[in-house]
Amino acid sequence: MSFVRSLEPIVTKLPEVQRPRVPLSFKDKLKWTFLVLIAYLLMSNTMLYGFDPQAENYFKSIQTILASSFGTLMSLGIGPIVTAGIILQLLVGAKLIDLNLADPRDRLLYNGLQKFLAIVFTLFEASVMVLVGALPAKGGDPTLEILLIIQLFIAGLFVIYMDEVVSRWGIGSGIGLFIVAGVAQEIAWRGFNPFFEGGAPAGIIPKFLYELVKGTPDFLTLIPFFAFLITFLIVVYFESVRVEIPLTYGRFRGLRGRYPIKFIYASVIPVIFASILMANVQLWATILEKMGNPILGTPGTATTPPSGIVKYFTIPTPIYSANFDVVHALVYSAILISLAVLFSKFWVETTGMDAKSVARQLQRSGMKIPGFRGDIRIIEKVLSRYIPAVTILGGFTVGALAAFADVTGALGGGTGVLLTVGILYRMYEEMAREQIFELYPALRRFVE
Amino acid sequence: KKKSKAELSKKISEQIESWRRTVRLARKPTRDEFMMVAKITGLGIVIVGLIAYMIKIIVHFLGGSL
Repeated sequence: MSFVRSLEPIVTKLPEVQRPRVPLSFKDKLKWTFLVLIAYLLMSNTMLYGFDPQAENYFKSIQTILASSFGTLMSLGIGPIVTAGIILQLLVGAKLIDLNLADPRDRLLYNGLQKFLAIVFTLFEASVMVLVGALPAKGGDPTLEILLIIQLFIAGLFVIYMDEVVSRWGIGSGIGLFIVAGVAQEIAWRGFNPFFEGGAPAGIIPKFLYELVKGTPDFLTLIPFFAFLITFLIVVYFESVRVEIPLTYGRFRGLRGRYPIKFIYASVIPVIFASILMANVQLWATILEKMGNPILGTPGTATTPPSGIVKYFTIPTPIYSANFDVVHALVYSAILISLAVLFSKFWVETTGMDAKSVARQLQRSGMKIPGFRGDIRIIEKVLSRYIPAVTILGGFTVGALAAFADVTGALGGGTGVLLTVGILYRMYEEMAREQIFELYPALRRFVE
Repeated sequence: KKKSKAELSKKISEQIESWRRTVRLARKPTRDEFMMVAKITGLGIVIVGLIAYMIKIIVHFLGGSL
C-alpha cells in the first residue's frame, strides 16, 4: 500500500521516549513505574474544567477495561491506544497493509503507525465524545466544549507517552499498570471511603462500622466486600490450573518437558469482548431512544431503571439492594456466560491458539510426544483432545466469575479482578526474571 | 430424522466426556502455589490501593478535585 509507505517519513519521526542505553537496575524500573502510577492516579482525580457535573455516565460497563474515570482527565483512559492497536493488528492481519514484522524497517514503521493512529484516535474520540454529549460541557457552551477537547487531547498524549515510559523504563506495560491502578482505586475507595454521603460514610466498611456503633448493623452492606474476596480467591485458583502435555525434545533424548495449557485458555479476553458488546448495545439503545424509536428499549438513567432488550445487557442492580430483580440477574448472567464462551472460541481460532497451529509451533521447535516420531499429526491429535475443552470450559469459567461478581456488586467487578490478578502475576514474573538477571548478568545475554 | 437425534446425543455425551477428562487431568495448584499467587497479587492490590486511597483523601481535602 503506497499510502502507508508515504506516511513513513512523518510517522517514524514522531517524538518517542528514549530507550535506556544500559540495562536499568531493578530499583530504577520500580521507581519509573511508581512515578507513572502517581501521575495516572492524579490525572484520574482531576476533574475536566468546564465539564457538566450532572452529565449521565454511559461508560460504566467499560470503565474497568479502559482504566477511565468519568469526568476527569482520564475520561477516555486507554481507549484510543487500544482501539488503534486492534485496528492496526486487524489491517496487518488481513494483509490490507503488507508489513513484514520480521524486517526491522517495517517494524519501525508499524510502531510509528501505531503511535500515529493512537494520537489521531485520541483527537477523534475526544471531539466525538464532547460534541455528541457523552462528555458534555456545562450549559453546552461552545468555548467550554473546545476547552474540553483540548484537555482530553493533551491528557491522551500524556497517556500515550506514559505507557511508553513504563514499557521502556518500568515493569510490564503502561496499559496493564493503568488497569490495575483503576481497579485497585475502586476497591480501595468504594470499600473504605470514610467521608459521609447521605448521612453515612460512603465506603462499605466505614458504613458498616458506623451502623454497628449506632446499634443497627446491616450485614448486607458487607456483601460487595466478601464477594470481592471470594471472586479474588477463585480467580487466583483458576489462574494456576494447567493441563500439562508430556513432551520430549527430539535432539536431547533424555530431556523431558511438559507443555502447559492454561485452563483459562483465552484468559480474560472473552469477558472484555463481552463487556464491549454490551456497552455497544447500550450505546445503540441510547441513540435509538434519542431518535424516537427505542426498539432496543430504554437504557435508563441513574434514577430510572432500564427497560426492554437493553435491560438484559445492563449490569443488574446488585443482590443486596431492595429492588433486586432475580429474572434480570439470571438472564444477564446467561447472556454474559454464553458470550464469553463464544468469544473464547472465536479468539482461540483467530489468533493461532487452536490445536493445529500450536502443534505446528511445537513441531518446529523440535518437541515430540514421547514414544512417537515428531509427526505433526500426532502432536495435533493429542492437543485437540484438550484445547477445545479448555477453550469452552475456560470461557465458561471467566463468564461465570464475571457474572457472579456483577450480580453481587463485588468491589472491582468481575472483569476488574480477573484482569488485575492476571496483570499483577505477569508483572511479578517479569520482576522475578529481572532479579535473576541482576544477580547473573551473563544469563541476560543467553536468554534475550 | 431419528438417526440424527441419536447421533446428536452421542456427540453431546462425547463432548461432556472430553470436558470431564480434561478437568480430571488438569493439574490443580498445590496449597503453596495457591498461597504464593494469592499473596503476590493480593499485595499488589493492597499497595496500589493504598496509594490511590491516600491520593483520594488528599484530593478530597483540596476541595473535591485538583
